[in-house]
Amino acid sequence: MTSTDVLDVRARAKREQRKRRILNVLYLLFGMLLFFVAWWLLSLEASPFYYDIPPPIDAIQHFLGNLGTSSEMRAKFVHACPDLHPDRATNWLRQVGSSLIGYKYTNEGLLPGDPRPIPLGQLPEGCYGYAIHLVVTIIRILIGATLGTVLGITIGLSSLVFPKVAQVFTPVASFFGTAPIFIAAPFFVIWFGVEVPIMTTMGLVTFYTTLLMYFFSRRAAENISVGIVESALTLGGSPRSIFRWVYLPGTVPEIAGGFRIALAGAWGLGVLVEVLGIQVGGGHLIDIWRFLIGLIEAPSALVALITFFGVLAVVVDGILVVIIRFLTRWSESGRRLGL
Amino acid sequence: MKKFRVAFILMMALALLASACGDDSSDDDATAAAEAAAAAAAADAAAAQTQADAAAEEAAAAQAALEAAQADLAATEAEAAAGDAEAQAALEEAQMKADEAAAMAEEAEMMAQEAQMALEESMMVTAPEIREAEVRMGIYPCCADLAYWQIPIELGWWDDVNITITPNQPTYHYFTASQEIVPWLQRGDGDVAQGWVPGLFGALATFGQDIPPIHFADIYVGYAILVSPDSEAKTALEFMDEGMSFPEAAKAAVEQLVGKEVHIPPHSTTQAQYSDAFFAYLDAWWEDVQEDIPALDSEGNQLVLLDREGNPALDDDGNEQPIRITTNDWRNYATPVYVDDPTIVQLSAQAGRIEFAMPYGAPTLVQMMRNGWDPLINFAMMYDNDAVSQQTAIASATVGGTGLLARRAWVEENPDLAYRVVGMANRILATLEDSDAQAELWAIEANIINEKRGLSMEPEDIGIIWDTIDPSFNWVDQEALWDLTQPSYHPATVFRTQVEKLKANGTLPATFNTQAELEEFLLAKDIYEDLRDFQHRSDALFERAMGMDLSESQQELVDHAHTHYDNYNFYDALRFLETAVLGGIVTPGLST
Repeated sequence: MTSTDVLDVRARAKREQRKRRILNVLYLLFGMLLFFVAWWLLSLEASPFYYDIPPPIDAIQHFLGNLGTSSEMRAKFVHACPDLHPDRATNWLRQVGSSLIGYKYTNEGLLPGDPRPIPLGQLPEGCYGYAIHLVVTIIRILIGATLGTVLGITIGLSSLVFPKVAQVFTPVASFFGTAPIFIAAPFFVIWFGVEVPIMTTMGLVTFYTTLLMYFFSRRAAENISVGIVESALTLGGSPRSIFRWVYLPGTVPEIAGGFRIALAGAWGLGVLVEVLGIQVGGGHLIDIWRFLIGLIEAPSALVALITFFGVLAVVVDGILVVIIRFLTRWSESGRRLGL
Repeated sequence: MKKFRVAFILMMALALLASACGDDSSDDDATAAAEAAAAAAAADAAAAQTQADAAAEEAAAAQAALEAAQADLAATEAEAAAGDAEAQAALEEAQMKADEAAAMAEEAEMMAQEAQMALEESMMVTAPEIREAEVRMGIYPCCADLAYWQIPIELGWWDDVNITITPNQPTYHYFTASQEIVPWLQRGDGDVAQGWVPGLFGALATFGQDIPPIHFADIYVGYAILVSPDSEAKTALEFMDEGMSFPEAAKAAVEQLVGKEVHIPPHSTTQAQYSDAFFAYLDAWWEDVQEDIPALDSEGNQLVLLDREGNPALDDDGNEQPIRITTNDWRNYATPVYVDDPTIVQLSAQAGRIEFAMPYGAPTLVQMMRNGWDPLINFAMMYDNDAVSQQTAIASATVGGTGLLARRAWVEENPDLAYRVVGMANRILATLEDSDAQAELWAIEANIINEKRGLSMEPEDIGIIWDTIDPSFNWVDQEALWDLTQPSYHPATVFRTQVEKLKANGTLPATFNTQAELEEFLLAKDIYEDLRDFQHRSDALFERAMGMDLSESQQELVDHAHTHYDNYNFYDALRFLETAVLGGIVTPGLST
């Protein structure tokens, strides 16, 4: 490659690229502006949704006002700190740990004479805020999606090496894959209860993600050109080396795309399970507020929480795009991702 | 004499008209004008009666003249037959007179008939119209006290008042969750819906006044903490069997809940904490009191404990015992797990999954009890065994019930429809108490609840719910509901305490004027008083009609009025009666 920019081609290409990026940002801002304008219009008194959709500013104010602590939730004894150990009261990281697992489900506290959990009336103010609920939900969903992805890819790709795995797992996956996943959600609540959310929420998200990633990983492998595999064989590749050097890297772009789809679904699924009765999490907040919909504050709370998860999903997806693009920059699909 | 009477009636009519013109009040104007119109109609009828009487008198005189002429004619004929020529001439003359008299009698008869027709015409009345109207109504058929509206749909009772139910014609908009009711009315998608009245208190400072109750149907006293069949916890009754008094047994039963999880629907967060009544048996409850909430009647007097006769219950020192409602909350002693009724039923089906539950709906309660769950303690036990106690007073202060919530703007624009819909509620509740008819009505309710909620209620279960869990307020009970001097459940008093509690916990602003706002909110009281007034007026007119010689059309209207009256539609009963007896509607507001 010459260092001379013949006919100013490189500079022009860079200018075009800069222009395209600026335009992308402008389009993004324009899209967000349109969203807020539409929202604002729907919240006007003349709108049929006047009572159901609060103005954006009200929803934002509600969200920020209840993020750290919430007097509304305190009055209703809705909190994010079940069985909070006294030692964990001042450490928010340990509070989140308590919220995720529950004090009585750990080894501590089960023995007679151990300190009792903090009574509801003496819980720290932060336990009544939205923040811990939302953090717990995010952690649960990310853990569930990660576990499901690892499981799904492992089973999917190993089924290429060991066909018997495919013979056993494909019918099972096909059966559950065709059943609407939302139908399974209440069963998880019944099986694992609402007291052990780590099993209910994460279990369902893991299950759903495993199924999706199994199919995506198998399809990704099947979509690898036969010519590439034959080339590898011609070069003396063994099944193991072909799996390691052809299938594994070759499926990453498509698997990554599948992971984005699975994660996008996991946000909704995780929150849905929480709405069904799990006592801590963003979905639980939505559940409580939907029963209070007659109160003036409820539409603001519901819209704010739902919007939060929407924005969260978009932001996480944006971060994923950046990561996947970096990891798969060697491939055409990786280079074009997010453009 | 009759002319004098006619003149007197006309003078009265003019006087009434003059008084109507001279009064500033539009209602009084309307009344006076209507009464004047009625008096004028009565005067017309009296004039027609006079003419008919005169014509009848003339006809009778003509008939007498005819009979006299015919008698003369008969005598003359006898003489003529004897051969007297003079008599023959007299015969011809008598014949002529008799013919003339007959013609006059015929003419008089015709006049009498015309006069009679005029009289009947003047007494002819036409039925007032019951306008055809659409009412946008919704129900949430979860429970007996909400599903009862299915009855008029299936039995075609709405046709009796010319009402078509929309928007899901020919039936109601069925809510799938109770929380949909208020937004549906608030948006203006519907006009009327049966809902939980205290659920609106938290919104009284904002839009609650736009959706007031126009009728109270029942009081829910089925509050209970249920314990699972596989639990080792004992119920209060079991402790009593071991020899404890009820307060001791209740305390022992509730102590088993301290620190435990209790599954309860999220609805409970919007309601007065009825569970407080149970936990008030704990010693700690009274040791932890931080703030007392005013428990006052509508005149601002402190409420005191009353015995079964309604007299103040005195303590050992002979002093009255003020009722103490506090800011304490049961959730400081046990942990609520907020899950809705269907989930509670699902979880309760698995042994060991949950131990204690407070389901919200009576059908859920009944079904769980049928599945072996026992009430650890419930309101019925308290009322039976510990009626004069602070705990039972707290229970009474926290109960509520369902009612017809209506958009205030709709009621103001359509008072006639509001009266008819409330009349329908009273008709259903009365028929539900009729032992000959209630089985069919229970079956209708059980079917719709089973269909919409996936339960398996038997018709008899509905009867049990109405009898023991959800006692209804029929038309007769409504009087005591609003008359504070009668021993009963008084929404005005109970709700006042509940609203004060909302002020204490910050849901409502501290400056909220409880008394004034509640008076405005309880539109059901105004509607009841209007209907009672219509009923009393109808009673008086029925009595008056008994002493009158009614035309056929009048009698028909009175019969119609009877039907409406028997169906608790006092509004149309009075309209029909006034038309029949007074010749037109005279009561303001009835003209629609």
